[in-house]
Amino acid sequence: MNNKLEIRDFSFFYGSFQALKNLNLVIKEKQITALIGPSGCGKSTFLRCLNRMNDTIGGTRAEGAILLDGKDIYAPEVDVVELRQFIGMVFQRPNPFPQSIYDNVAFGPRILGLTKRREELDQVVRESLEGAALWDDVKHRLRDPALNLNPGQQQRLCIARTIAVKPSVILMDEPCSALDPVATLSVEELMRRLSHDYTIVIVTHNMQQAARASDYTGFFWLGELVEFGDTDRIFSAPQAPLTEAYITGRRG
Amino acid sequence: MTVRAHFDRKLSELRDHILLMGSRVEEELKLALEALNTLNPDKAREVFAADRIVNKSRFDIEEKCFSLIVTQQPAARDLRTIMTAMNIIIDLERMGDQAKGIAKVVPHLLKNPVPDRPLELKQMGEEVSRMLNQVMLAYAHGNIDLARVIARQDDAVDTLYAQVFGKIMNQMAQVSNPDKIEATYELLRVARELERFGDLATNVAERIIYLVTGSLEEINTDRD
Repeated sequence: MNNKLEIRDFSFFYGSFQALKNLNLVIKEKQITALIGPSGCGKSTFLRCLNRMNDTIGGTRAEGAILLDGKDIYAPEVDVVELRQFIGMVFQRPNPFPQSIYDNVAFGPRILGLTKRREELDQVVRESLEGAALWDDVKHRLRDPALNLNPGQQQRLCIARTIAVKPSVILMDEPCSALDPVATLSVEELMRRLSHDYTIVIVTHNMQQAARASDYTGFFWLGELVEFGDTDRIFSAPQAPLTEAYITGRRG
Repeated sequence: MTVRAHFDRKLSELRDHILLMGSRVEEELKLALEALNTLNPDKAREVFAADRIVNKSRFDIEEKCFSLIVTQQPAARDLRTIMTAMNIIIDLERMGDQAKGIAKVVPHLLKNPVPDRPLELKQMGEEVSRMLNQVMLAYAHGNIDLARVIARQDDAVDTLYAQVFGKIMNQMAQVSNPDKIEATYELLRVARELERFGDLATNVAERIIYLVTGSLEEINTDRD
């Protein structure tokens, strides 16, 4: 199994505040990696570092390296817009554009000029919606407003939008926290299917979700990566006492 | 009471239930050995009654474990605690069955007494009683050093079994009366029940090590 992302001695600062402290880990290709930890521990900050979304916040600074397929994404010559095509992101609250279902998915390929003809674009939209397990729900109403979809469908539309630009990594920041249990399970099933083709990193507050839906789990505490490993092992026999205390609800 | 404190209390109660079940099995074995030594059919019947209580304990505790799993979604040591409990109660219930098997021999021996019982049989009984007592102590205190000692004790039981087996086979070879042969064979059955009892106590010890360390470790590889 290849390393898709390698994080080496990575630290991140909001001004003088060090939010991430000397992180070292690898994210395996086409596996699901879950990041858990209490609020404010740095897991979402770390997630946003993986596609340099934190660059949009003034006064921030990164040290160390994050390698995507062996190349440092923080190198000066890196085009962050292009980077975010390859490392896509799905957010906590579904955020479809106020456009049609079709135009939501077509937006990225159009802007990036990924297709030359209408038929090609239609194909990309269909494949992306199929990939997000939404095609059967919407194939007869692609021109309907995306905001007419229920929250679970909207989130799957956001996933379709992400995969339409052919990323290799999908970052998910608490993608199910605004969804009901049925919609949550459908997104988790979708994640498992997507992991055959994409590397997935998910931040979650739901430890049962991390336990059932991921292959690897990293536990963050106050900006540090306390423990990282096979999900089965982390949840059955964690090595670090702090990990044990957190996942059993004794601390957090 | 907080959710966590409530869960801790339930885990503590679970441990107490298992310790109680262990003490019931100890008592059942003691009754069975007394019934065998004195060829007392009333004592043998007490063993059967005691075994029914042990069996019921197993199912009661199993239900409690299911309830904790579904309501608490345990992880890490909490999960290992509950999984260990579910395994230990199976082994304890089987130990109860071994004791019952010993008591079942009493009517046969009453009809056809065997005067020369190998001394090793009594020693096996004492040894496995001690094993059960110690493994329950190890469980009560999460003492993995004590749990590992059980393996050596099981080696001693296996050695005694081999000796008993040899002696009983010799006895059977020297007896011509079929009823006497059958009665002598029943002693072999007792030895087998005791040897198995020792193996089950070793299983419990392995589970205790898993509970504490998170690693599954076979502590007696000579079992087969």
